[in-house]
This record gives sequence, C-alpha cells and structure tokens, in this order.
Amino acid sequence: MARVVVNPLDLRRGASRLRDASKELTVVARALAGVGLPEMPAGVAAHVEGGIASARSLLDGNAPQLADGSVELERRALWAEIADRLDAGYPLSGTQLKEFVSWMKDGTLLRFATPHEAASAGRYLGVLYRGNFKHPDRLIELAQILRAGETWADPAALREFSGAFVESFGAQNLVEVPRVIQAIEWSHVINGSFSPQERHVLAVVAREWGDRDLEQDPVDDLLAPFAVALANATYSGRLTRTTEDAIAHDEDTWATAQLLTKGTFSTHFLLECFQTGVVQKIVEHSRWEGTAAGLGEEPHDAPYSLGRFWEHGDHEGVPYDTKQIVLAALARNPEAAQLALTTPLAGVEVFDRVGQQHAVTSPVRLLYDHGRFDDDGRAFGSAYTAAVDSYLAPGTAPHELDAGNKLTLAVLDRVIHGDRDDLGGVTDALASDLASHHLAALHEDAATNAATDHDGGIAGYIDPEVDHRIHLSRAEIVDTLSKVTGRDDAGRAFLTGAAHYQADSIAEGTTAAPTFEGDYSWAHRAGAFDKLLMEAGDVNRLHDFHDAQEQQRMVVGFMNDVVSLVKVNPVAGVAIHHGIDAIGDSMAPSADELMKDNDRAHAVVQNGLTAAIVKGYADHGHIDLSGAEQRHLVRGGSLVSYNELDGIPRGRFEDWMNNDPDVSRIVHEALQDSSR
Amino acid sequence: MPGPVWLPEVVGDPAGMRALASTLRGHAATVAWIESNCTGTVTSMTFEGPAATRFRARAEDCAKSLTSAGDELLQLAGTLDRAASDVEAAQAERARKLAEMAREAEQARA
Repeated sequence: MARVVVNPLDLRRGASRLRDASKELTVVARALAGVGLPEMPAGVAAHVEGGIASARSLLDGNAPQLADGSVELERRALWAEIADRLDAGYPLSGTQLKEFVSWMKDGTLLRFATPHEAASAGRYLGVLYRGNFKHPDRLIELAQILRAGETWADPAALREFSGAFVESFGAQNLVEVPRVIQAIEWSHVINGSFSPQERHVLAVVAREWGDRDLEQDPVDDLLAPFAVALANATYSGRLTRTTEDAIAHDEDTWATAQLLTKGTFSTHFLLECFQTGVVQKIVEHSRWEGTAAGLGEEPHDAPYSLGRFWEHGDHEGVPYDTKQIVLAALARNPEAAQLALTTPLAGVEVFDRVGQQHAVTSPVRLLYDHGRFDDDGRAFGSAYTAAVDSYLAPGTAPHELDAGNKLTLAVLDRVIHGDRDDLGGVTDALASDLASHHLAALHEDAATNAATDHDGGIAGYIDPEVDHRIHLSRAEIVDTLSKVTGRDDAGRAFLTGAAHYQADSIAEGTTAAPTFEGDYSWAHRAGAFDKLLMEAGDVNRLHDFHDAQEQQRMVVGFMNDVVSLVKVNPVAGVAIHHGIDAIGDSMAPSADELMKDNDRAHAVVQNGLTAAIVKGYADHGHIDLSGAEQRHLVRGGSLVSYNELDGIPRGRFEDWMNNDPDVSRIVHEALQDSSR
Repeated sequence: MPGPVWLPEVVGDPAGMRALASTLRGHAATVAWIESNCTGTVTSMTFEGPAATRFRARAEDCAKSLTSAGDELLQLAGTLDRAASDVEAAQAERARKLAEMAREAEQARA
C-alpha cells in the first residue's frame, strides 16, 4: 500500500497560490491578446504576430490547469481533514460540512476521492439526508449531489460511494424517494383533491411543496440519480443481500419499479424484482379477473406517473405499469433476462376466467398468456431479445445455444398458439430473433418434412444429441411466417434478413459449375422456404397486385429482393431495407407486372427463384450470355437483374431463361431441386 | 535636366518595436515569476502518495509549458530589438543617400 502523507494547511496554501497564479496568467494572456503592433517590416511582423499568438495560446491553456490544480489541492486538503472523522463517525465542523456539501454538489469532492474516501462520503451523505429527504428542498439537493458524483467520480470510487450511500441511507428510505418526487410533481393535483389519496401518496410532502414551480425534471434530474446510485450499488456487489431484498420486496412495488428506470442492476436484484414486480403482479391481476371479477375494483396505484405532469417536459413520463419498467431493466442486463425468462417458476398459480387456479411454470407462458401490458408487449420483447441475443451470440457454448433455442421456441409457441392480439411487440422481437439466429433452421426445415410434437404440443423441438438448432414442422413454419409477416416493421425486417440469407446461399451455391453429381440442396431449401412463405402470406390467392394486402406485397417483394441481392463478389454494400421497402413504393409497379405476367402466384416464386439462380450462375461465368445479349439483357458485360425489368423486357428475360438451351443445361439440376 | 530626388521608404517604427520588445520582456518576466512560484509551491508542499506523484507530474508539464511561453516571448523581444536596429540603420542610410542625391542634383542645376 502506498504511503500517503498530506499536510492540509500546505495544500490549502498551495491551492491559494495556484489560484492566484492562474488569474495572473489569464491577465498576461489577455494583455498579449490586446498588444498593439508597431509598424514593422513584413517578414518581422508576421513572425512577431505568430510568436505572440503561440505564447498566448500556451498561457491560455495553462491557466485552467493551474485553477484545476488549485481545486484538487483544496479537495484533497478537506479529505485529509475529514477522513478520520468520517471513518470514526464523528460529525463534521460547520465549515467542513459547508465545504463537504458544496463540493459534493459540484462533484469535485468525489472527483478527487480514493475509493475508500468515496465510501466514507457515501456513508456520511446517507446519514446527513436520511432524516430529512422528505423535505422537498433537501431531496432536490441530494439528487444534485448524487448526480454530480455520478458525473465526476471514477468508476471504482463511484461503486464504493453508491454502495455505502444506499446502505447508509436505508432501503425503506430509498423506496420512499419516488413517492417524495411524486408528491412534489403532482402537488397541485394532490393538494386540490378532496377524495382520499392512495395510501402511499405523501400528501404531507405535497402540502409542504405547495404551488411552487419545479425547475428540475422529475425523472432525469430527481429520480435518475437515485436509480443510478442503486444500480451501481447492486451491480458492483457493494450492497448487502438484506438491503437488496428489502428494496425488491417492499410492498410499494410502484416505488421500487420507479427506481429501476435507469442503470444496469445486479442479476440477483433484478430477479427478485421480476418476482415481485412482474410475476406476482400478473398473478394478482388474474385473481381479480377471475374469482373477484365483478365483486370489486382491483387495487391500483395512484395514477400520478413521474414525469407526466411536469410542465417543462414532454409529459411522456415513466410507464404506469411496473411490469414494463422491470422488463425494460431486465433488457439492460442480458444475464438477468436469460434467467428470468427461462428459470421455471415455482408455486405460481394463476386464476382463469372462471376462477379456477392453474399452476404455471413457464415464465414466457405466464407473461404471454396472462400478462396485461400497456406497451404492446414491447418491454417483454426487449427482455426476450436481450436474453436470446446473448444466448445465441457467436461462439457461445452448446448448452447456451440450447437454452437460447428453447427460449425462442417458448416464445414462438405462444405467438402461434397463444390467444393474444395485443402483444405485437413480442412478435416483433420474435421476428428479429428468427432473422438473426434461425434462418438456416427455417430453410432446412422447410425442405424436410420435420417430425412434430416431440414434446406434447409446444411448437418445435430441439435435439441437442443431434444438433443445436430449433426444429419446426412445415405447418409451424407457415404459422410463424404468417404471424411475422402480419406485422409491418417486423415483417420487413425479417424478410430483409431472409432475402439476404437466401441471396447469399444462391451466390455461394452457384459458385461451382453445375454437374450431375452436384449438391443442390441449397436450391431445394430456398424453393421450399419460398413456397411456405407464399402460403403464409396467402399470396396463392392473389391475382392482382393492386388488391394485395401489405402482407402480400411484402412477400411478393421478398422475391424481388432475393433476385436483386444475388451478388457475386462482393455481396456487401447492398442497402438492407431497399428492396423490401421499395415494394410498397417504387418497386410496386414492377411487382404488379410480375403478378400480371405470372397469372398463377406460385409462378412468382418459380420465376423469381429461377432468375436468382440464373443470375448467380451467369455472374460466376457458367452461362453463355450470347442468347441474352441478342435479347438486350446484358449491360456492362453482366446479366441485367430480372427484378429491374417489366413489360416486354421482362418477357424477353423469361423467354431466354426458360428456353435458352445453355441456360437450361446449366440450371437444370438446381431447378430440379428448388421445385422438388 | 535631373529627375526628382527619391528612394523607397524603409518600413518600420524602431521606437515602437523597441517598446514592444520591452513589453514582451516584462510579460516574460511575469510568466517566469509565476512558473517559479508554482514550482516552489508544489515542491515545498507536504504531499506524498500516488495522487501527489500524479499532481507533481502535471505541475511539471505545466511549468515546462510556461517556460516555453516565456522563452518564446524573450526570443521575440530579441528579434524585435535586432529588427529595430536594422530598420534604424536602413533608414539612416536612406537619409544619407537622399542627402547625397540632393547635393548632386543641386550641383547639376548649378
């Protein structure tokens, strides 16, 4: 351990001198800036002018350094003076306390604190404010101090500071902080209300605040510093389990959830909050929807959401639903999200509509089937995305892959078999998961008649003995694609990913010159997937593109995309959203032509896929393009893209593609497989 | 008939240049005093430990920077003094030549 010797008086004297020196340097720099130049020979004038500017710049740069050094010496002097007192639990003298609060408020005291000193400061701050934080001005001051510390302290010091502060301030007090902020922000409403308030509302605080104008943003300026302090304290493991659990299990679940709005929290703490703020909430709600339906009103928190009343803000505020807040917090800690969504629930029983109790062990099933969310399930979807992206990241261990695949199937099962049309956010997250991690599996299973119902009704299965991917039947793929493409943004994102995947497969599959013995399973997989996609989008019944629903337009657009994305060396550089987006806009006439030219919809698939395969072979130099040249289908030495053509040129392309003997000879094997 | 007596002006205000040089020397002296004062303060403090080492390293950088600024000002002052002398000499030479040319012109007229 390094030896530290400090004479506070020396440091304060030094600070004073450095501060004076900084001021004097500033005076010299200003004098140099205003110096008048006499008449001089041109060369000398330029040299002198440049030299003065350079010297002034050096002085300008050093004046703040000296001032900063002066601040450091003063703060370190105070630390030297108070460290022992704080450690021993003695109160500070009046001057020391004034400096302590003032310099904590501007962040400079923590900026120059060692981790040990930071912990002392956190502890003392907790003592200072735990008895008076319900006075609005003290709470605002404390929020400023926490915020300044979070801005200026180094990470190690901040961890120690946050942990010590939360422990010292007290779990119960911390949970009351959101209620104090609520009372300040909503004082007009609370003070003007004649009906009794929900019991957690702090009417006495509202009365003290009166009708003053709140300058601080209740969420970003007041709530967030406490949330971040708690997050740092839990995530760094500086908080005792007792304190963590006391906060997580506080009966005021609204207040606990508010404290989760910002920051990354520890896994243990989040899992406890998941139990109280999500699982138990859903169970309680089911009780009121079931047995107690019609017998009374379900208890609810006061509708005073933080940030929604404050007149200087956007009135968006923190969500009213605590489940959303907890799920959003889970999304910021993938490990916690994984455990929350995959660890079987114990002793959880929900009530159905007729009051019958059912045990639920799957967290996904509980959330999907019984959870009521105000956000379309987006927070749930975010937590799922965080969990599955972490499970299925490249290079993860097989058991992690299996866990991730199981989670995907759990969500997929509810999306296609569940009875909810208000959880689009979850479908969007599923679409993103499928596009990011499961396109190969979907193509593989589309091409094989996969067995179903390995596990008694839940969609799909995994078989870690054989491979580490999901397996779905064709019917399940169709149902999944139907749900996914039924959502505008999710459908487009998914199909863009699928188009890239398929185009890349075709580009790779057409690398080698075709032979009778070649492996064309890639073509078979693409053809099989496309057919299921057409079925899912109900495109088979579409005869006029102008009558197409958004879902059908998307699916037809997918084929155009595959054709346009088949790029041979390099594939990169294609705008991800261009093709799919274009279908609704500029590409629509082309797709319309496509539909007209192919009066049966499945021809869309065949022609599109054929064109993609032909393009792949042509760009790899395996097809003699003389026939295409005669039909004006070659531009700059390359075959034009089928999807860019319409009308007569498109007809010429199809004529060449379907009748040219060289094309037929080359693509025969692949096409056989694609239409198998 | 001889033409008018003329030579190009020698640009420069030697007195002004010397005054500026003196001003810059004054500023350089102030900067040197500040540097010395800071260095003395930092060196003499009872302040040991890792933070003190880092602080002194920064203070040393600052002192070097101030020395450099002061040196630059002194060099400029020297340049200005030399340039002032050169200008002064050139102006005197011009005056001498003009007088000589005026004399010659006078003689030619006579």
